[in-house]
Amino acid sequence: MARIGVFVCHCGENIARTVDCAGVAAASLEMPGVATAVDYRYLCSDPGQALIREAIVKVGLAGVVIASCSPRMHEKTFRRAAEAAGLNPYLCEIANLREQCSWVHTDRDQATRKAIEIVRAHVARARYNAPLVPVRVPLTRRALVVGGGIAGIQAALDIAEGGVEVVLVERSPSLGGHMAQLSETFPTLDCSQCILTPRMVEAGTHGRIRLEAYSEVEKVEGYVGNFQVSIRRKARYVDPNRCTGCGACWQQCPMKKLKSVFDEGLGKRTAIGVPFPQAVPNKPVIDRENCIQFKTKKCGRCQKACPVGAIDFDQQDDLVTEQVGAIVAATGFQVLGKEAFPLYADGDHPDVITGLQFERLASASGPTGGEIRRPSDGEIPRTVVFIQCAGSREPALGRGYCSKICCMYTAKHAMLYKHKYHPGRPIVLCMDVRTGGKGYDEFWRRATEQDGVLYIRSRSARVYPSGGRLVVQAADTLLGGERMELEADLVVLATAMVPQPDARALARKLGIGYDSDGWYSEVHPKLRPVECASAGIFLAGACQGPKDIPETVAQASAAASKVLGLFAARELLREPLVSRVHRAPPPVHSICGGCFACEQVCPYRAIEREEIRDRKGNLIKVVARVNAGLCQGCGTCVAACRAKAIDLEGFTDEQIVAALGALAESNVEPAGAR
Amino acid sequence: MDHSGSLPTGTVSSLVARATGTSPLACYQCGRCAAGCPQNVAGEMDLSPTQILRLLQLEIAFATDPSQAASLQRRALGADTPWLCAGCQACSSRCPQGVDVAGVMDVLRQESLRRGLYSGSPQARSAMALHKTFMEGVLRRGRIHELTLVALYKLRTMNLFEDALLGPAMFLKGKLHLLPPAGHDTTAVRRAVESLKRRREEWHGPAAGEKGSG
Ligand SMILES: Cc1cc2nc3c(=O)[nH]c(=O)nc-3n(C[C@H](O)[C@H](O)[C@H](O)COP(=O)(O)OP(=O)(O)OC[C@H]3O[C@@H](n4cnc5c(N)ncnc54)[C@H](O)[C@@H]3O)c2cc1C
Ligand code: SF4
Ligand code: SF4
Repeated sequence: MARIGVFVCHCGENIARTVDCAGVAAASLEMPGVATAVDYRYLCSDPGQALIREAIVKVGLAGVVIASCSPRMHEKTFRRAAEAAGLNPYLCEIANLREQCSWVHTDRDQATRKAIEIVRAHVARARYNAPLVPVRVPLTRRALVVGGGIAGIQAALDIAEGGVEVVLVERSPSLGGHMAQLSETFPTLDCSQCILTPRMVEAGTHGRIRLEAYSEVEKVEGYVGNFQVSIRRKARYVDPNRCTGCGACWQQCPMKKLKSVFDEGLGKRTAIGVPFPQAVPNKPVIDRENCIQFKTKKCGRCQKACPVGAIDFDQQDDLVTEQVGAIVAATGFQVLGKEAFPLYADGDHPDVITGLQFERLASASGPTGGEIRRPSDGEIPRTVVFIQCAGSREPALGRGYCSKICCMYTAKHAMLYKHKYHPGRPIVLCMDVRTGGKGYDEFWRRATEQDGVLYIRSRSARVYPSGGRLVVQAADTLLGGERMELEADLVVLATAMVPQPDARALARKLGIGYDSDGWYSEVHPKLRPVECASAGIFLAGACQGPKDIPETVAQASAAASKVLGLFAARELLREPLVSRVHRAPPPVHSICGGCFACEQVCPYRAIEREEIRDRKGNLIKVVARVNAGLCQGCGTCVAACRAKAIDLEGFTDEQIVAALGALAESNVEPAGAR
Repeated sequence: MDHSGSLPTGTVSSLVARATGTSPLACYQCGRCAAGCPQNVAGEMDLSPTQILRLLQLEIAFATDPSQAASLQRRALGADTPWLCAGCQACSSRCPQGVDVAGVMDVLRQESLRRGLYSGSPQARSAMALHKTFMEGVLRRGRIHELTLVALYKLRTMNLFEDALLGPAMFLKGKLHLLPPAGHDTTAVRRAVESLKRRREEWHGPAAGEKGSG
């Protein structure tokens, strides 16, 4: 008979208030296989753990049941205590008397009876606990970073500085992301490109960073420590090895009036070119959709102009495969366009622009050379109305969250406008001003107190054109909702930050989760903020939710340190609570019939095919095998297997039947029967 | 968020939640309804729609304090705002929180009569006169004849020349017809009105004597 020890914890008053812990211990002594049972005030304390260790040695226990809080809290603590006393840690079992009993009941008698039943079930299954050893997984010490905005750049640099090789994949032709488009940055008003471009150059030239720009992740296979990633290098139609970035090609391109993506449609570009002068890599890309040569074969001027013969209209996409051990997702965000706002001049007025467009107007490298001029006629606006929360905090339109950065950048915009055009009148319509951050509140107070920006506490009902200007309907809620019609020359919408259009598709490729808005999910919002539920994948920047630059950079460095921490081990140790396919000596080999129903249902693609051969190498049968590196122990395959050939370690059928049997046999009256 | 189930019974707010499907607590006081309300003009509405929602929120918070709650109800139900509401739904269609502000106004009008808190101010009286004339017309003919409506309304309010200049313009646009439409079967309309009355009784018990006149 197994010798099992039961230890009942009071958790101070948390359990003892509603459960008679001494009574539970006494009742446990009666259960089959229990050799000792005690209760104690705080089992997780040092003396509490010592009590367990001593009992294991003195009584010669073959297993322990700790009746305490949730296993999420202290399973590790108690398993370590068991191990220190020479017991295999997986022979230590937690019965949850707190979250599942004392905290949710008030009647002491009933709670005590339920506690006894919980312990009884665990004692029954503990008798079938088997010693387990952690799964060892080999490790490829290389990392993949997806997305080359400031988050991806920072993560890649930190990982590379830690001595690990990085593959940095950026979808667009250049590194930089949104930060490259910004004018000056809150709360210090330093020039965005001045602080960003050195980082871009560093990432582009670092000896341990392989930059794959204008590329996308096509497929991800494998598991933590061992991912195989295929990357599609999109055809640039320019040979990067020959191109020197001299610019002769785009000067000759006749398609000069295309709307610049980088300038948010406010400036012009050519069909071949780099998105902005400091692009990294500084190699042009041909926009096939708008190139005359691709449409009619009657141009090729860039090809003639190129002094090194780098233009290649026949270039094809190219697929490469990389082996990496960890992945950082840093794919950022996009902003809603003004067409999402029918209330504001039908979402289609040249002088209603987004905050991101305002950044391009305010930027020295932008289409107006940094002067604030309205798009319709190039005039300097005398009044600019800024509308905050456009599309954010609007559950009626399906978006309830706050975009977090727009209060600050709107204060910045209003200040920049005032600094650039002193007679101008900036008016901000806000619901409240959210300035949590170091130096942030001081920043917006400066906007109001020094620069005289008028804040009106109101959401606008409508914007409509009238006599060459725009009328903004508002109400001063601090005056009780007094209606006002504000005349403006330019209206700037602080439009919501939203996930990238392909965020969900990429999440499915990576096998990571996202929330109902489409932001990538971390394991724990407080304690594990940069890890994904899928081991080996980490999050950085705005792909996880709205963030400003300081937060983005902090999270990127955190993700990098997680990657380096993972790689610091020689090999990976994983919890052995994984599925196992039945194997037996010949002639049975396995009761697995090879139907692979398990393969169909496994959400982690952990089922492999194993060929069983005789000594001469003849194939006997093909059976399922679980890749312990991939298996997350969810047990779905166990339920799907008709032959009952799969079992989940730590939760075997035997254990579950034993626990249920113990509950069924016990003769307590059902709860509430009085 | 749906909070409609959890409001203190007996409050105007709980009726609002029941009738409109959203609780006044959903309002975050952004002022968009006030900003777009064509009737929210200084000197007309005594409280903006946003303020009405605020009073209802206070009513919920102070529901356990009868004198406070009663005073808040007096302010909300005694306001002219619900009577000036044109029912154009601009507020309801734009509210970012999905509050049916115009629906709130409906409830407030009914409750102000039921609880005898109707203010009887000139603004409220003329609105009331219009409602009454309208309903009488509908019950009599099954539909509305604008010119009769205008004439009866003007007799009721003795405000004979207000907006008189609008008449010819409306006539030219085909909005005013000189002859009443042919008689319509009024049973369907009457049945609809009866069923509404029954529903009101289900909610409140049989109607008490209603105050307020044209
Ligand atoms: C108008 C405006 C003004 C702002 N002003 C400030 C300010 O003054 N101060 C401040 O601190 N913050 C400011 N911000 C916020 C700042 O822009 C963000 O915090 C920052 O850009 C987030 O960086 P990121 O790298 O996470 O995302 P991004 O900048 O969006 O970069 C993501 C990168 O990933 C790439 N990518 C996306 N999907 C894929 C894919 N599937 N495969 C490969 N690559 C992909 C994108 O091309 C992009 O290069 C402002 C934002 C806006 C909109
Ligand atoms: S950050 Fe400010 S402007 Fe942006 S959604 Fe939040 S509250 Fe609105
Ligand atoms: S629009 Fe909606 S949320 Fe805004 S003040 Fe009016 S009722 Fe409240």
